Amino acid sequence: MNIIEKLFFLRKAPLLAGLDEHNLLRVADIAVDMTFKTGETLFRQGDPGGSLYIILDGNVAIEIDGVEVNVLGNGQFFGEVTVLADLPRTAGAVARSEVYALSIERAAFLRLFESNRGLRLNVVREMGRRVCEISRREREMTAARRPA
Amino acid sequence: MRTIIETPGFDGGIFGPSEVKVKDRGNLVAIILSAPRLVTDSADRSHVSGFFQVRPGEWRRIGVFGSYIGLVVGNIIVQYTFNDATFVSFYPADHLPYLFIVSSLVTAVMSSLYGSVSERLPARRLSWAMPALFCVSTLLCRLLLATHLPGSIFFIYIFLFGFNGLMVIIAWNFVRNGFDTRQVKRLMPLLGAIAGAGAILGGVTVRIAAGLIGTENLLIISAIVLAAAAGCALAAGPLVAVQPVSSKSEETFWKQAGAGFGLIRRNRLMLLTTGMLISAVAVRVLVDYQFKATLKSEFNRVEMASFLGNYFAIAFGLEFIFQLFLTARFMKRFGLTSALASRAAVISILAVTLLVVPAFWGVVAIKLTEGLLDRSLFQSGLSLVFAPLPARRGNLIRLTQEGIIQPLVVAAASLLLIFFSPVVSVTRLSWLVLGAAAVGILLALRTNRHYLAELSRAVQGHLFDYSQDFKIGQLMNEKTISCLAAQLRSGERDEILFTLHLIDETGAASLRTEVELLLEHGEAQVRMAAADALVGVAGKEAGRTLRARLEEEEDPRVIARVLRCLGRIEDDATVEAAYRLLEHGDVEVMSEALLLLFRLGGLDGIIVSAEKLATLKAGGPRERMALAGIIGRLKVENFDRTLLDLLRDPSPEVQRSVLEAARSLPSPRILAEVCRFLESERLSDIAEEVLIAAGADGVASLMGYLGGQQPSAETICHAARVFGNTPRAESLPLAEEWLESDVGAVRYEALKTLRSFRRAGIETAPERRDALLRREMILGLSLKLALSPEDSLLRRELKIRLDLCTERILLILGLRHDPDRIDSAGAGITGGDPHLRANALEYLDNLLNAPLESFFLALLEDIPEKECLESARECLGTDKTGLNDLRTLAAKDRWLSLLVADALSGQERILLDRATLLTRLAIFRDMSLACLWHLASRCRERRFAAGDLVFPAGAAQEAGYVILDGTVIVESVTGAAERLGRGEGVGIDTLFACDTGDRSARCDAGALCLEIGRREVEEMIWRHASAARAVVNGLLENFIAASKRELLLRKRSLDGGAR
Repeated sequence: MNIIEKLFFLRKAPLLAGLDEHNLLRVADIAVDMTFKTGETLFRQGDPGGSLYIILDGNVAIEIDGVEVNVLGNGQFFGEVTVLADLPRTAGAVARSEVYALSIERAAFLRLFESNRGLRLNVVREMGRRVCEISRREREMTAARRPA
Repeated sequence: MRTIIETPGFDGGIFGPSEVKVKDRGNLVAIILSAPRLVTDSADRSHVSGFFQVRPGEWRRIGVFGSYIGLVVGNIIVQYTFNDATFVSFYPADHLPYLFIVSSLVTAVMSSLYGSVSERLPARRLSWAMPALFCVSTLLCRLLLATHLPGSIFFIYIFLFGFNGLMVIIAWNFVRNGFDTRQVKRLMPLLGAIAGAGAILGGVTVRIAAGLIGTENLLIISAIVLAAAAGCALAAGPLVAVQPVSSKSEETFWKQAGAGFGLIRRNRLMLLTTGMLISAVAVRVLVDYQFKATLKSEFNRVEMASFLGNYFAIAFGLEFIFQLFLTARFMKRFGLTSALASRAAVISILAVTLLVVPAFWGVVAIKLTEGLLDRSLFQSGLSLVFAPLPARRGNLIRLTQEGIIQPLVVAAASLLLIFFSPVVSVTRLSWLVLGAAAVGILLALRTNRHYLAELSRAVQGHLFDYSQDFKIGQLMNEKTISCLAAQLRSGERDEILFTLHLIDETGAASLRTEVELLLEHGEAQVRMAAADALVGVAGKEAGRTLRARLEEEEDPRVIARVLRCLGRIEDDATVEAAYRLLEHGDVEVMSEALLLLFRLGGLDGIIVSAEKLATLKAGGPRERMALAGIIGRLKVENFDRTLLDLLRDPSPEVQRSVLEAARSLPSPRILAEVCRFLESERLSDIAEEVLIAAGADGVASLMGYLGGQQPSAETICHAARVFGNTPRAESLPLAEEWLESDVGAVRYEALKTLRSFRRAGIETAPERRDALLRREMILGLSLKLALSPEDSLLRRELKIRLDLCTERILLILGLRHDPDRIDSAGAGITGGDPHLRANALEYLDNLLNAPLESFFLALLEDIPEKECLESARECLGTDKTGLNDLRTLAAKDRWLSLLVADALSGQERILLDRATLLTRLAIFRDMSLACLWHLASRCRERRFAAGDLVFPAGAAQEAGYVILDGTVIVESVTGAAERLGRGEGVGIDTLFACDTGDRSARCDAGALCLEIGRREVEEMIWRHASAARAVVNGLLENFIAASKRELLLRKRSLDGGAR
């Protein structure tokens, strides 16, 4: 995949929305494209953190303690907890189909985060959405368990 | 004013359970600085830790790795004594060189085996697998010895020698990977001492056991020790960072060795290290031969065994003492070069002595010194040299050095011995020892410079290069052009717009037809972008197509853009149309038409445009703003009077437009007026940009302006940035004067300015820098010492101030040393990667001279408070003066004054309460006080009556709330309801999702809330990276907590399903 192709994929990712082409090119330059086969483990829970992944094509299941908690698709990103908080992987990731993804190394992403205002805002908004999403799922599950 | 919430955390936070009550809030800092808790119990809890320079949490690691290396080395002594006693008693002394050669060849073979195994196995697995394998092999050797086969002693000697050589490499590599660069420097001597203790125990065991169970059964003891070492390695495994291992590597030993040679050849430091190693090995072989040959001539078999036992006990006893008490201090005081050169220097002196006074004890002294200084100083120094290298690269080099170079040197030295020993006496061989040692000294003296460069490279290599500016045009090739064409045909508006933008920048001519087609697109924005892109790909040839578009177009935004494009390519044929459009009702179209006429319409065009400009000047604010924009784009200096008049316009929007225009028309008259706007709260940033864009003229105007003023601190900060962007010798004295300011922000900006000056070759006086550096360091230490274990706003603020102080110190160091390297070291220290941080600290440790180094590293390293205090006392002289000095410095600092005095009265007290309240919510907890303060000042109190809706479900969310009084009920569509009370957040989690989702909030009995606007928080995130980090931390905390709760629910529902 050449840098321009990466550029077009990256600009569709909500995380990088609104970044100008020069900043996107910087990200495209440091992003590494990777392919995972169906069932392949991208990383395990507890692994030392390293990279953030953006899914270009395919589905990735996020698992905690062997329980699938979410399935992510095109344009979505994962691995942000370990990259932003410098923690071991809080969840594992397994390819549910053939997955084509871009990975961005932690140090490079953090430098980008520090220097790019748009990216900072995008990260906060995306994290905000995820917190809301997970809280909503939690409420639904609680409601489902409640006796009628 | 009403106090919103009690803040016991603030009043009680710093002083906590102590009896100190704050009477005089204005002098709070002085109280903090003189508080008796500066020396804590924990600081002198362990004298042992202090003596060995062991930091909290390191003892377990040292215990496990120390046991491992101690057992490995103890085993080596047992086996070496067994080997020497068995071999030397059976064979004559002239067999020794042949034994050395064969041993070296075996070492090479073993290294090749190790190389291929280490590629497939991670270091942690190798560390226990090798001792286990060696344990079994040793037992097999014992069985072989029992067979009394001819040559079995020779074979066992070679085998044990080779395997032990390998074990040393594996063991020390494993131990080194368990520590970072800074830890290696501090703790390697202690680990060396533990290894020495292992050696002593090994020697003592040999002396006791040999008489009881016989020399040959020492191998059984050796096997037991190796099994214990394997157990220790298993325990130490989880403490070693995981190194990537290539499981499919097809690299042979020779390929790896080739790579190792390549790395050595390309790296000056490694070349020097290899040179020193060659010298050291040559000396070792020669001295070993001298020693053993002398023993053979002096003693019979029984006397020799007795002598060797005593010798090993004394040698390793001395080494133990040396490692324990002297090595770390020697390395800290005299540095790396001395550690590497001392062994060769002492051996040279002893070799000369031996040549002058030939004696048995002279030979023993050389042998003893060689072993002692080799293992204590020389090997510790080498470990330090390898620390900055990535583990895999370091291992490849070590493999080449130990596996190929070292055996070759042993073989070469042995051949020399075969040649010289029949004709030269043992004493005369000291000439060769002297020569090899002298080479070692010369090489060691050149090491430090290259070591510093390697450390700097290690730090810089990890940093992402943002200076690289991509030229998109250079990325264009057939593949990327077809990719762009596909995007243009995609039909998606956003994709098309982005692609057209790229095409405009790249000028990909082959895409002209596709771009022309898009001029007919239904979306106005696409037509505008297509017009721009067409100019990019076709240049002047785009004129006809664009004119045709101008005739057909109805949307004023597109007309204006097409006119601008035609102006860009200087299309004369558009003048007629421009005359017509000059009377267009849209200001933007009229402005573009006017600009085109002025540039391309000749004299008539200029006259008509000038008349129109006069009309605009007499118009309303919108017209005057348009006029400023037109003048800015015309760049005709004669219009600067008009701009000057507009600059005095009462409307701030017009003033802003004029300042923006002044960026491209920086006449001296305008610049003098622009300086005035540096004092303006709203327009100072843009005024600064104008002055920076004006370069030397901007600096000259600013110098003139500052000459007659008493500027505020904010104005000085702006001015310092202007000076820094255009370094001029005449502005140097002012920047130096600002270094002495009482306001930290001014000093900070002045420092940055002076560093720009230095980069431009304008040097500042060194005595000023030194004085400031000392002052900043004292302030930094004072802040470090003032940290209390209690959490409070003040504590966090002090920490932030310490970071800022550190940054200032790094800036000053950048004036003294290479700024780029200091920058990299600073980024390495704050980057969050522990190994990178260790390398950066080690770099500074070697770069700075002694007094600076001890103060500065005390600020940065996580060292006990007591050591910190000692550094401060050393820095300040006596205690009494020191504390006074600290008080004076802190009292002069505006920020601390604001925090501890002004903040606690009147309106600001309320702001502090609000800030404290905000810190109880996860997303604001880590925010700096400055950001919290700003946010608190923009929050507003809002009262809700009973039954009021705070926010509905599914609506756009513009604000979150913190309940000050009363209760709020949050309900979701699933029917779940939650009652929230005082101090709790409502809709804070959903603030950044921009949507209330499935939840609504209503007030059941009236409530008073603090309303926090989303825009205000987002603006903070936009402006300050630290605020973004803080919010992300809070969100991550909420996210992880919610994930855990969700997981629990899923598990329960799975369990329920299973039942």
